[in-house]
Amino acid sequence: MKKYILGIESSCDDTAVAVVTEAGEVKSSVIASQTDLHAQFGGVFPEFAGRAHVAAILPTIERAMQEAGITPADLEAIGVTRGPGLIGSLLVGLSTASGLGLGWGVPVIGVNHLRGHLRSADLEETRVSYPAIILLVSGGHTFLAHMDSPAEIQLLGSTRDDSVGEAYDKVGRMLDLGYPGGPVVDRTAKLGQANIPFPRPMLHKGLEFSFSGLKSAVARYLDATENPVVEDVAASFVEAAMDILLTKCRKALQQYPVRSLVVVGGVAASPQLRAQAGELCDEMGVTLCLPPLRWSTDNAAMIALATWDYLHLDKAPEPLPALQLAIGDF
Amino acid sequence: MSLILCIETSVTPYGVVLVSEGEVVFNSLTAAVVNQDKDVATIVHAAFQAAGQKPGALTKIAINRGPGGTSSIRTGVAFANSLAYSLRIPVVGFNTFELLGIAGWQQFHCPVISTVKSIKGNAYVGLFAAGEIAATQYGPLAAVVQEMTANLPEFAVAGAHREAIQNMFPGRTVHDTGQKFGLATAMLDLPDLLATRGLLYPAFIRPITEESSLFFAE
Ligand SMILES: [Zn+2]
Repeated sequence: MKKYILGIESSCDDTAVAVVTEAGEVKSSVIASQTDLHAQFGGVFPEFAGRAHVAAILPTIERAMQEAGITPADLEAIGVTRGPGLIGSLLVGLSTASGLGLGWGVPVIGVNHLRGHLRSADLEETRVSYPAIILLVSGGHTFLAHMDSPAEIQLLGSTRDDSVGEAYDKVGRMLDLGYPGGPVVDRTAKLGQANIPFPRPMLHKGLEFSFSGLKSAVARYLDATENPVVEDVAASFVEAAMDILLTKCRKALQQYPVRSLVVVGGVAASPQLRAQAGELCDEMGVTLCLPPLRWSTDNAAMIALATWDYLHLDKAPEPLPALQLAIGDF
Repeated sequence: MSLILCIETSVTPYGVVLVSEGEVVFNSLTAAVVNQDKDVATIVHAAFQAAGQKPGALTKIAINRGPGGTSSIRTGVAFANSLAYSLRIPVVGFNTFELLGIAGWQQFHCPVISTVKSIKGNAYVGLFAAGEIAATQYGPLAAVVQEMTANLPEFAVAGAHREAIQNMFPGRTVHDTGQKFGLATAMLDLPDLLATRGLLYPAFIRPITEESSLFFAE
């Protein structure tokens, strides 16, 4: 019986491969990280990311298959990220998946990376009760969506400019805290006072986000201030970012009666965000769903789980790059 | 039994050639059934259909590692690597200078200088003579070519900068091969390399880049 999907994810700087059952059981999930490679550039350098994917992808596939203890004959399909993402990185995953599919005689399906994130909360166990509001906060994306079911997705609002993760990275760089900025900015913020009144762009305008104004305000403050207290700047930035995220979540929960709020993406690792989202959900009487962090950052298990949705819905986009996919797209 | 898939993706349209028992049974550049704008997987799929062959029957895959279009090379290499891996068969890497070199050598029976465009006035330059690469270098076009051809009374040029190089040496015999890009079929004209250079996973092909230290190493 064929009961596994092999997921392949190479949209940005991590090469990830996983084997997942129809019920969301993760048989293996292997990630070859390029964080060290890109740390020297203070961000992801696309050409080097593509090269690193070529070097990492076959060993990662081999390990994922071995750890899952399966053979190609056990595969129902291969699901591979087709976008959004960096073209040079996506192409490596897509071409590799196509070669495997041809050699193994297994169908290959191109999967929307965003649908992977939206499904990540149900990996290993069913956690989400629908309908749900989902907040995706990462280096690549910041948006709110409404989900009636795993397949029925509606975008409520996304960022007009930077993602919140980018804002973290840029502020981390301005404060000389290193890359990636998220964890270190959060840690530094805990040591300071949020005593600088940074702006909250678009706070009361619908469910869309904007972070570039906040980022520029931090830059202006640092330019204009002699001996700024790094901890206080970080604390004030984090408070403003959280204010924006939580205010939009509250609005969404007020507008849409749902059973759960799901927070996914790399920034879901923020202790400040986790704590404040918990308080909001208690107050609103909805269940907060915070999947384990390993499923929140880019991984291939979420792509594999989303691929099962594609099979159930009879959707099979070709494994070719699609850079402009929206949340509702397949 | 021998069924070899030769892939060249350094330039579009991609070249995909299927060789059964030493005979070309499919060539994407001359086959009417192929939409040449397609991605490599689609063309390879069409190759098997047109030739009435199964991927499982492949005994070897050959691929051009570049230099050439960075992402198209990477696409072809990733595809060749994973197809070879999935079938547990060897994958052979050629480079652009070998493919252009053997074609030029057969034309003029003299050393062949091939060039591939790069950025900031730099070029990839390779010298092919007597069936193999004699030198390769990445750097400013004129300086590299001057150095590489210093002891060559006669040579042929192939690749991107043929005209520029001919103009550099008014007094010497410089033949123009007329070849701008390598062809997948040229891999068959290098039978020794095709026979001996195969890598089996966990070894696999890496694209040639400006930081490859260079092409002989692997
Ligand atoms: Zn992502």
